[in-house]
Amino acid sequence: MKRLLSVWFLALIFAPESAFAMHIADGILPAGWALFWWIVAAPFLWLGLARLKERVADGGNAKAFTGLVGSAIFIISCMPIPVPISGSTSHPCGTGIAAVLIGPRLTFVVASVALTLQAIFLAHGGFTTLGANFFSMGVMGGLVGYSVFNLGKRFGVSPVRSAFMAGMLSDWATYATTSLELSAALHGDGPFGTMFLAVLTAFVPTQLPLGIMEGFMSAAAFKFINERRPELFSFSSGKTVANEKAI
Amino acid sequence: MTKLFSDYYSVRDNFLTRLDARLKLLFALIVMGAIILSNNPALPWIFFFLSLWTMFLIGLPRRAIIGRLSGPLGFALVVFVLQSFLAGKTPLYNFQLFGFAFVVKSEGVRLGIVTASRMAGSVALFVLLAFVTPAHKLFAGLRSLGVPSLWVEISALMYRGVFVLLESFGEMYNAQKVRLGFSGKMRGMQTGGTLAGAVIIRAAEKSASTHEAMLARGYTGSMPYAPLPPLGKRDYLRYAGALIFLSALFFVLEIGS
Repeated sequence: MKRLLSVWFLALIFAPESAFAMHIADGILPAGWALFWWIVAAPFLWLGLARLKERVADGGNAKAFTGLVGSAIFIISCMPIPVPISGSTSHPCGTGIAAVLIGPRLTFVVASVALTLQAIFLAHGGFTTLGANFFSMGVMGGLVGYSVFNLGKRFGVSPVRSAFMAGMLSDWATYATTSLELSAALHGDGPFGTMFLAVLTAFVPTQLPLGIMEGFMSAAAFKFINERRPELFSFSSGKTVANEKAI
Repeated sequence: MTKLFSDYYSVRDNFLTRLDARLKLLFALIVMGAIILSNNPALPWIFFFLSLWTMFLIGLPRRAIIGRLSGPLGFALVVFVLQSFLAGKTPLYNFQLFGFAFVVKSEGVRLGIVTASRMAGSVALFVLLAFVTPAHKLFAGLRSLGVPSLWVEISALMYRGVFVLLESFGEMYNAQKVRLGFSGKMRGMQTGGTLAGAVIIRAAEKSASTHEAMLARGYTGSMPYAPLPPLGKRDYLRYAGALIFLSALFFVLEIGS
């Protein structure tokens, strides 16, 4: 118990820095783990590209729509949000609202590009760790966001509340997966569970409130779009929203 | 963010911006591989200081360098401390702080040093690469290395789209801010969400005009790329020299020691 408490204490000291660990930087993962996550992530990226190819073949402006909505999600994910408990700033993932808007498979593509751009131009994340970051943010974030939104709708929860849950849970899913990836690679000879607990605890002060904030943001964004351009949400179900109205 | 994220520094003329993007990218990836395979912290630190020195040599502003490196280096320190306490079994040092017992372990310290060094070396190297290679050349380099052209096309669209939308985003954000849209947590979240929604709608509108503009320019479903200039003898010689330097370093520091 004493050991666990000291781990918790140690993790809390470094909680403000955990905001930067949202994407795993190059060098943290040993070669074996980096390769492992690339192999795990690759089929999802392939699925995403196959879906994009299908949408492009259907006609319309699917490519431009995906690219520009991806840019918007990228900008949203760079918004600094002050986190009340840790006193640091962090930023939302954006994959929850992206999955609701363009579907999970196109979210895979958009997330992979966003992570690459962040790694190259902002030194946020990494190239060798791209597989791990893509799996936690793009795949887990996208799948959880999309599933929660649709499950909510199926069980009669209002779409705005479903969007809130999608945003919040996709953010938490991303961090839980990142904690797993980090602790699996970093525990060395020490127990995996203790490292997992330390990493997860370090994330909690920033990510617990951040997830809730991302939920509120996703809900507000959903409400805003739904009131003005509800047809944009039909894109995720395979419909073409291009060339009508102002688009 | 615009200045840090853009090609602001990479379009300057210096000996590194003149090098072929494919070779720079390939060499950076090979060095990165060597760094994450290394168990000797010397190799990553050599590349860290070489990259840092080169950044100063080509006249990059100190503020831009610190801006990019401070975050990852801060986290490298955190990883070092966490591993020192949590990895390994052999106690090296014990102490008490606010009633909590802490044990620093020797294997953890060693692992922490290696991990932090790898982070420092690889991050500095990639920061240097981004500072000396314009985005369109990086995308062309990725294509030539076998990355699917559809992915590269979406990347180029997204990269361009960021600058198109960033201006609208900034205007909307400032307008909301001066109207006290962020004065309070709940109001701030709602305003932030509205801003996100407005940017997404603006993106959708822009996507239509972008598509129309692409069609008007003869777009038929895939973006044509100009062929990359052929590599010259000098390029190959430079590349071979860099690889020999890296192999010698790796051999001396990793295999030889």
